[in-house]
Amino acid sequence: MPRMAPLALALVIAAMAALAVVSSMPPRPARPTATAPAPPPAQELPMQYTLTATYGPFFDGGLVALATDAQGRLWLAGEQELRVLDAAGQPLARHRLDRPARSLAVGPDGRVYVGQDGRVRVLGPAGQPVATLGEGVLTGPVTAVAAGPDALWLAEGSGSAPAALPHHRVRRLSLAGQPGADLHASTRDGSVRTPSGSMDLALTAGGVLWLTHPGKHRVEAYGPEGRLVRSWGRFSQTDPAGFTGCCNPQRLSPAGPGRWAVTQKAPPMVKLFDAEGNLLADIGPEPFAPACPILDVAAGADGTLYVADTATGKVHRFEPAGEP
Amino acid sequence: MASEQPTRREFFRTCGRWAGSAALLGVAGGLVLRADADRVWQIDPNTCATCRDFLNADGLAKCATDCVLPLSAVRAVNDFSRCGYCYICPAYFDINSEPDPYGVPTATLCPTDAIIRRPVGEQDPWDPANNYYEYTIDEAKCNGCGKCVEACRAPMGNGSLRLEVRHDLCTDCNRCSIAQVCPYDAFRREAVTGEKPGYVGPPGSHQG
Repeated sequence: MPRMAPLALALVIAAMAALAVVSSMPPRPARPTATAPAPPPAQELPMQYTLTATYGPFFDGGLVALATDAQGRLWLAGEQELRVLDAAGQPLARHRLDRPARSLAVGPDGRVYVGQDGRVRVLGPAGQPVATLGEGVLTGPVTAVAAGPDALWLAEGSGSAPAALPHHRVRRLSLAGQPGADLHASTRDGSVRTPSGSMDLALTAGGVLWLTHPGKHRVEAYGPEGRLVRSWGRFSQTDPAGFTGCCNPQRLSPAGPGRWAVTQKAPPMVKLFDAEGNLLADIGPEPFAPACPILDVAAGADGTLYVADTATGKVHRFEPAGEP
Repeated sequence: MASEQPTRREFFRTCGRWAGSAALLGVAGGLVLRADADRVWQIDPNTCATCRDFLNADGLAKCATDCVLPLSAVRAVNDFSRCGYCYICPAYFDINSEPDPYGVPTATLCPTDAIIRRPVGEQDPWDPANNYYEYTIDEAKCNGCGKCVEACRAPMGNGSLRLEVRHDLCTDCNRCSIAQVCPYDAFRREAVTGEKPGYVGPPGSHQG
């Protein structure tokens, strides 16, 4: 053993030297988080919205979608659960889901429609299960639902080539689940281009279907017979009324007579337009998470906007501070 | 003095100990080298930040400037399974450039024009926004600067572009000169298995 002592001593010295070298090295910088480009410069707009409350976070960051009902309640969809809040953010009820929610809508009859993979789960206004629609008809994820008095419109993601969810089919089901004539959107194959895998739908009086078309940077409206009757929006990094990046706008919601709240990502913004596409107000990028992939939006009857930040799981309430 | 002289038995015992230790070290070293032979320099796509805060005066990342090869062995690749086939791709276009009358940016982002854009599938000649566009990297031009990777990063894009060490080019230096300067410690020696998302897989698994 004494003959091994010099070797052991040398090893100890070498280890101490290596430790000293390592400890003297400057620490690696932390990887910066994804940053969104700076928003375009502010301009005077006819309306302003003020942040008046923030609820949550909900679902441990797994907030998927939100909707409002005629009673002024907020419905929030998480991966496995629905939560119901009053307008002040106080919890009213929770309802378990047996499959992850992909989208959420409340119909004119007060029923709640939860888009899931390959089907739509229907709940009553009190949260009781009513029906499951679309099984055997739908195959992809239902990432948007719009409910009318006599039919449902659904955005069904396509998993076919060339990319994972490059487009959505806008499909129609009767309230009993019978398939109807699908929408032939403004592309050659009738689909909606969704490079980031999401879009949104909303129905207005007279059966006009509004949708976001992210691949074309615009909002489109289709009449009851399926014809494109109106569209507005364009790609722009500088025009406040434009939509940025590869694939915006994301979600939309009616926000009062002839007004639309439309969301985008990177930078996260909510933009309020009239029915002709004139910008009335914008909100953001504060208080939203810079890297938020999807902001969902719903409006109360009084024009209050509720915006779900799916990155933080929080719901922000904004109230209008001016009228055009 | 005579008692301090090792006996022949002790001499052979000591020699045996040293020889045994050397053999054990040799076997261990061989095993380590053998294990390392299956490992190559790779870039962890979850750690790489394309030198966002460490670009040189020309806006180039260290992957472009610090390789021992004249043209870096690091190249951008596009994962087609994540690509959105966008009409306006923030990695291809300089989206802050002046738009043309149709609203499409007029400048491209890549400093070496290494990204190739072409419509795929059924094409609409009347409205180019209706088409899908495939983006591939011309490896002969790509210098690994990382501008496209940064521009495609979520949430602006789908994050389908990443930097990758091309192992048909890499000399696999024992001490990779890029790894020594990578500010985010994103260079790792990893096995070529294709099991970890974003890492180099077996031959034939390369995309874009």
